[in-house]
Amino acid sequence: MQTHGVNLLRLLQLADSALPIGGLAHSFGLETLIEEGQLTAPDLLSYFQDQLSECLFLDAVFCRNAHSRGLAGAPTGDLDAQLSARRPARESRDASLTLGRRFLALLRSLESAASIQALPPADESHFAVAFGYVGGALDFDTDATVGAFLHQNIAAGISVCQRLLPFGQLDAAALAWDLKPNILEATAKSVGLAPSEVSIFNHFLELSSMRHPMLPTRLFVS
Amino acid sequence: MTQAALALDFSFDFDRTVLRVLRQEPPWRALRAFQNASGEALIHLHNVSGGILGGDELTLDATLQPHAQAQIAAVGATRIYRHRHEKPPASQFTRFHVANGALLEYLPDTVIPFAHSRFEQKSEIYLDKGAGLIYWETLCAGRIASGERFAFENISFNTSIYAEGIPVAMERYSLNPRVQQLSSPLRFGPFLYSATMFVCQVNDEQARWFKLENDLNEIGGSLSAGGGKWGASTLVRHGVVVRGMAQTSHAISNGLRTMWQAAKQNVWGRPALPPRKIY
Repeated sequence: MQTHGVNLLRLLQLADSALPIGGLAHSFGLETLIEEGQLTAPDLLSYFQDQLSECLFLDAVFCRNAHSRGLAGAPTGDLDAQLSARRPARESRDASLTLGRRFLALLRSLESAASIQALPPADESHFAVAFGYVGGALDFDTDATVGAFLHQNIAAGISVCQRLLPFGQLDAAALAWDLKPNILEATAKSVGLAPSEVSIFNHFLELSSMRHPMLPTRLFVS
Repeated sequence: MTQAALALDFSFDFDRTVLRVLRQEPPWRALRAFQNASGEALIHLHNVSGGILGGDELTLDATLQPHAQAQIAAVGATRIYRHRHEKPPASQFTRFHVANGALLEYLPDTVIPFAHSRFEQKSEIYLDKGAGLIYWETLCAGRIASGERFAFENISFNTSIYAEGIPVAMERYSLNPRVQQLSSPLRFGPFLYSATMFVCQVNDEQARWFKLENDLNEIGGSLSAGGGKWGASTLVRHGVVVRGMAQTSHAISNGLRTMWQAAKQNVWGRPALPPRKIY
């Protein structure tokens, strides 16, 4: 299966961080880290590389597993339940669920294919699971779907940093460019893994997300 | 290389919790249970070899029958000794089953991975309807007083909590300082200790947990002002998780105890009594 023609163009649209689902309103704990001086502009490349080997890698594995469910039209409730249990920080978990819900609602409004219209109204669907499922249901290539999902998340994270750090557009473009091999590496490593096989460690980021509600001023919802 | 099991059964008999030791193999030693002032049967686990050696496989299995109340603590830190060539990693498998109306407090001391150690810890906790749990685990970067920092080879933790068969918290991580930058702001940041505490009561209303999250975050804010960082979050259902990170043993144990006392008073309406006087 290859993604080309209209599918390629549609996947490019879904990979855009400006997709109208509210992705730019969430920092997933980044705002606390930056506000408290734990993350600065020179650290960003290694920070996002670490994300791609920890929390975003876990998301990639869920996205890939959901893609196969989308191809088969199989339910994803068990994946969503597992991912909820693996996200201890409430704000980040809720953000992931909110984006997933809005993503599915947007797709229903855009795509008339029966596989999309038949999607059950999701009370609980994480963004990674929803993205993967839709990629499968629309016959997008698996690797392309996972890569696009990671690309979307990296772009949104960089956008957060642009708004919170002295980090200009050219620096942001260069960072996004330099991270492409890491996105491909995470995509490749996610092949054949069940979520239960994935170990990740992002305690300080999770703690920062837990503490986000206590920041005196907040630019982001999470 | 040692394979050793400890199996415990706590039952509620009229007005107190009774411990039965079903199986006890060295180096495991469960020190006699006695009732603390808060009503729990308190037992101390003792590893008579002083730590876990490379190749050791330790198993702890405990069941709390309906309405039993137990506090399981340790007599000291869990030391993970240097890995022995051609042996599997040291490992510990813990499984708890907590029945309706029972409360388990599992309060082990810090896991200290020595230089060149390898360790795998797997914990499974099954909560029935109405069951309660306070469970914590603390990991440090090594023998801090000796200047050791992330000198172990590999440490894996795999912790799962299920309420009525549905996962409420799952944490799986594997640390390998040779391939991971552990001082990354994503991982340990500037800290050397990381503690996680789960507080669960199956079937309590979610609104209650939001309130507790807020209360604990207020306390965490005060603790954070004294060094380290503390936060709390509502789990997907049935509880909250507390996370603390600090640079010293004192800061992590003091913070953990403070959060534990606040959570226990809030959820169970009685004080949390430390299993020993000095930490």
